[in-house]
Amino acid sequence: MRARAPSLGSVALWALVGTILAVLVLPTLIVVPMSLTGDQYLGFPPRSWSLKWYTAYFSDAEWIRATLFSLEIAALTTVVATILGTCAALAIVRGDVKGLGWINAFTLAPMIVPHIVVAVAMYLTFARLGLTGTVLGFVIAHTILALPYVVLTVSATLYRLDPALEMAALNLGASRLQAFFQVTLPLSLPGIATAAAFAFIISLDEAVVSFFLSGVHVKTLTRKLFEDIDYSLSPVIASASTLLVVVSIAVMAAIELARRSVKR
Amino acid sequence: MAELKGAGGAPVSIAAVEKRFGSVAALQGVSLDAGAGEFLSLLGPSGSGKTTLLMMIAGFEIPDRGTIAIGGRDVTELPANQRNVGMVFQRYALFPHMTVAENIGFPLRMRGLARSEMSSRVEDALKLVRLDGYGTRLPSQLSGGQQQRVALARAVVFRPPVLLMDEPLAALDKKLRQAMQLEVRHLQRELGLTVLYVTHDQEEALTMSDRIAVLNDGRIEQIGRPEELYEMPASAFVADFIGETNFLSGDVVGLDARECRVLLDGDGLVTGRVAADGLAAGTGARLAVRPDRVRLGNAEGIEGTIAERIYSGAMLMLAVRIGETTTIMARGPSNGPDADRSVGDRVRVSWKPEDARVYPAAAER
Amino acid sequence: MTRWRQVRGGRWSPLAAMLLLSPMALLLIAGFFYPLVNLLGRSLWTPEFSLVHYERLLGEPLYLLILMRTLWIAGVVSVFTLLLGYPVALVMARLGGWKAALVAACVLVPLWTSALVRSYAWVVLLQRNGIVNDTLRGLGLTEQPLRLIHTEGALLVAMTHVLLPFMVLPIYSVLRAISTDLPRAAANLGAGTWSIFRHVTLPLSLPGVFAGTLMVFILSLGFYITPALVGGPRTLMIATLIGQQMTELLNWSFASAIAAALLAVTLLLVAAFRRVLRIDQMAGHAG
Repeated sequence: MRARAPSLGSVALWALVGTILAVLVLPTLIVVPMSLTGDQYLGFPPRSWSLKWYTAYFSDAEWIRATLFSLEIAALTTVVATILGTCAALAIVRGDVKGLGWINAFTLAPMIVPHIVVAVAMYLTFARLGLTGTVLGFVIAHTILALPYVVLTVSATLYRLDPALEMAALNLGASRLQAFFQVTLPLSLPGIATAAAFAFIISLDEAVVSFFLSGVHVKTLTRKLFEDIDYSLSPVIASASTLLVVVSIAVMAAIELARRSVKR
Repeated sequence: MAELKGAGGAPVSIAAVEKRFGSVAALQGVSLDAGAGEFLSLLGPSGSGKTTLLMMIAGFEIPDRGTIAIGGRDVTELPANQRNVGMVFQRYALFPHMTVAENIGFPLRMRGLARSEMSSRVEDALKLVRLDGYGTRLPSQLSGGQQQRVALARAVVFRPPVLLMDEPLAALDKKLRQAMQLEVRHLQRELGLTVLYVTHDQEEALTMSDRIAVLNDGRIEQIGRPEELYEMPASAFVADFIGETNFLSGDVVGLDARECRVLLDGDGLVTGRVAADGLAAGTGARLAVRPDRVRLGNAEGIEGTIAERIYSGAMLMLAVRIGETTTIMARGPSNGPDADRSVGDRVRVSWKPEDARVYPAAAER
Repeated sequence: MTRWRQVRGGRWSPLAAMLLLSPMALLLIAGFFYPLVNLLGRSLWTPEFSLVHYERLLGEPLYLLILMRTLWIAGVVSVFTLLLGYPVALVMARLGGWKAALVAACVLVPLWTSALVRSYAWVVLLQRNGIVNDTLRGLGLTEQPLRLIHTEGALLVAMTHVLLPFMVLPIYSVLRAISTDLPRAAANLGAGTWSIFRHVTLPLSLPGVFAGTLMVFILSLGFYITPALVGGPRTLMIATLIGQQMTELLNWSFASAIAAALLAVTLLLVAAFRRVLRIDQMAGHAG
C-alpha cells in the first residue's frame, strides 16, 4: 500500500495537538526534576542534582507522620468503600429493586456536589461530634467520596456479566450465597480490584475535605502539602509531591493495563 | 452410561398461568401438559411469552396466578435451586472460570456427592456427549458445538427428570445445528427425559418435537403434533407462522358446516374448509392455502398471469398475479408439470377445498 | 451492555437488595446528606430564621464581584478547554496502536495526578524567579520580573490545564463511537475533508462537546485547590471565599450560606442538563 502524503491541514492539526499535549504533560511531571535539585530553593531547571530533599523528606517526622496517616486512611477507606460499594452495586444490578433512577442519583450525589461544599458541611457536623482530626472521621468522609466511583465501576462489571451464569448456578442447585461466592464474585473480581484501587487513590489524593477535617497535629499528606506550598518553597515539597504522583500514576496505570488485558 | 439414567421423565403440568411485567401481559391463562418422556417445543416469535414460561418452570419467575407442577408436585413457588430440573441456557452459561469437568461437576458438588462418585459421573457425562478427554479444558478453549455439548452434559449429570432448553442451538451455524438436533433428540430418548424446548425456529420445532405448543402474545394458539399444526392450523397466526402460506382476503358468500365460499377482493370465487368460529355470510374472511397445494392448469380455477419464476434447485416457485392486488405462490418440483411455464403465461389457479382453510378476518393480527 | 437487563428473573429479592443497599445508604444519609441539610439550616437560622446571609452575599459589591468573577472564570475556562481539548480528542479518536496509547497517556497522566500537585507546579513556574519570568526576561520582553502568581491570567491558565482532561475524554468517547463508515460514506458522496468534519463529525460529536463543557463549567464553579494556590486572596472565587470565611474569618453561617448557594446552582445545572451530562462515564477516569 502506498501512503498518501499528509495534507497541510493534518500536519497543522498534529503540530497543534502535539504542543497542547506537551503543555498538558510537562507541568504535571515538572515536580520530578524539581525534587532532584541540589539547590537550597526551588527553581527550574535545577542548577545541581541531588537526592538530598528525599533524605530530608524521609527524616522529617512531620512529613512521615502525615504520609503514614494518609496511607492508613486510604487503606481503611479502600476496604470500607469497596465492601459497601460492591454490596450496593450488586443490589442495583442484580437486585429486584424499584426506583433505580433515584437510587443512582442518591449514590452519585457525592460526585456532583462541589468538594468545598462537602468539606464545609462535613466540618460543621463532624466538629460537633468530635470527629475532626480522627481516623474515623476521615474514613467516613473519604469512603463517601469514593463510593460513587466504586459503585459505578463494580456495576459496570456486573452489567457485563451474563445473569444467566448466576441463574445457571441456582438451577444446578447452588444457594444464593453459593452462587455469589462461586460464580459472581470470582468473575467480577477484576472490576472489584479496579474499584478498590480507585478508592485508594481518591482517598490518597483528596485535598479539600482533608484540608478542613485535619487537626493541628493529625493531618493528611495533602493538607501538609497545602500548608507548606502556601508559605515555603522548599524543594522537600517537590519530593513529597513526586512520591504522591508516582504512587497515583503507578496504581492507575496498573488498572489501565489490567483493564486492557482483560478487554483483549 | 447406565449411571446417568435416573428415574426417567416426569410430567410437567402448567395450569392457568398468568404473568404481567408492569403493563405488559407476558402470559395470559396458559395451560399445558407435557407427558413423562415427551419432547414438547414452545414455539413462537420473540415476546410471545415462551421464555417467560420456561423461566417459570425453572423457578426464575413466579406466576401471578396459576400453578406449575412437576411429577405431580406443586412447585409454583419452590426456589430455583430446589427444583431439580436441568436447563440449557441460550448462550450456554458455562462458568468461564471453571474447567469443563468442574462445570459438569458443579451440580454434583452442590448436592454434596463424594469425590469419587463425582468424578465417575462426570466421566460418564463427558462420554455421553462424546467429549471424553476434554475435562481439563476451559470453556473458552472449546468450539461452539463443544460448548453446547458441555452445557447439555452439565444439565443432565444430576439426573433431573425434566430438561429445559432455551433456544440452545440458536448460536450455531446451520450444519452444526442440524447435527446437534439429532444429538439432543437421541440423548432425550436415551435418558427418557421430559424436554421442554423453547425455539422461534419452526423448522427446528417440526423436526424435533413430539408435540409443539405455538405461543403468540402470551397465549397458546394451538398445541399438537407437527403434522396437525402444518395440516390443520387452528388460526391464521399458526398457518402463517408454520410453513409458508398464501393468504387471500375477501368476503364470505356461502357457508355450510364444513365448507366456506369466499369472494376475493380482487374478484374470483374460491372455496376452503371452515377452520375457525366466527364466519358468517357477508363478513370478511381470510383463506389460507399452502403453495405446495396450489395447482396450476388451464381449465378450472381463477385466472391469472405468471409474474415471477423462482428456481431453487429441487423446487420451482411460481408467482401468479390475480387482478390488481393479489399474488398467489405455487410451488412444485422443478422437473414437474409446471416446469416449462414462463413469465407472462396466462394460467388458472385452483386447489382442493380440503387443502385450503378459511379464518374470519377479525382474527388476523 | 445493557442487553442483559432484559433478562428478567434470577434477581435478588427486594428484601435482600434493600439489605445490600442499606449500609451505603445509612453512611450517605448520616455522613453526607445530614451534614448538607445541617449546612442549609445553619445558613438560614441564626438562631431565628433569616435570609440575612443570602442578602449579604447578593447585596455587597465585593461579593457580587466574586460571584461574577467565578462565573466569568468558569466560562472562559470552559471555552479554553474546549478550544484546546477538541483537537486533542479528534486526533486521539483517529489514532490506533501505540500512538493512541501515547496520546491517551498524555491525557490520563494529568488526570491521575492530584490537582494539588499540578497547581503547585504552576505556583513554582509562575513565581518571581520562575521559569516563565526567566524566559520572558531572557527573550528581552520584560526588564523586571512580572507579578504572575495570584493574577486572574495565571488562574485561567492553571485551571485550563487542570481541567483539560475532563473536556477531552467525553468528546473522545463520543467521537470514538461514531462509525467510521459515516465519514467514508460522506467522502463517497463527494464531501471533502473540511465538509466531512463540518457536516458529519462535528454535529455528531456535539453531545460530547456539551457534556465536556458542562462538566468543566460545573467543576470550575466549585473549584477550590487551584484558585486557593494560584489565585490566592487577590483573585477570590466562590470556593476560596467560602474557605476564607471558614478558616480565617470564622464566619461559619455566612460560609454556609455561600456553600448552600453554590450547591443550589450546581444541582440546578446538573438537574437541567442531566441528560447531556453523562456522569457515569467519569467512573473510568476517577481521580
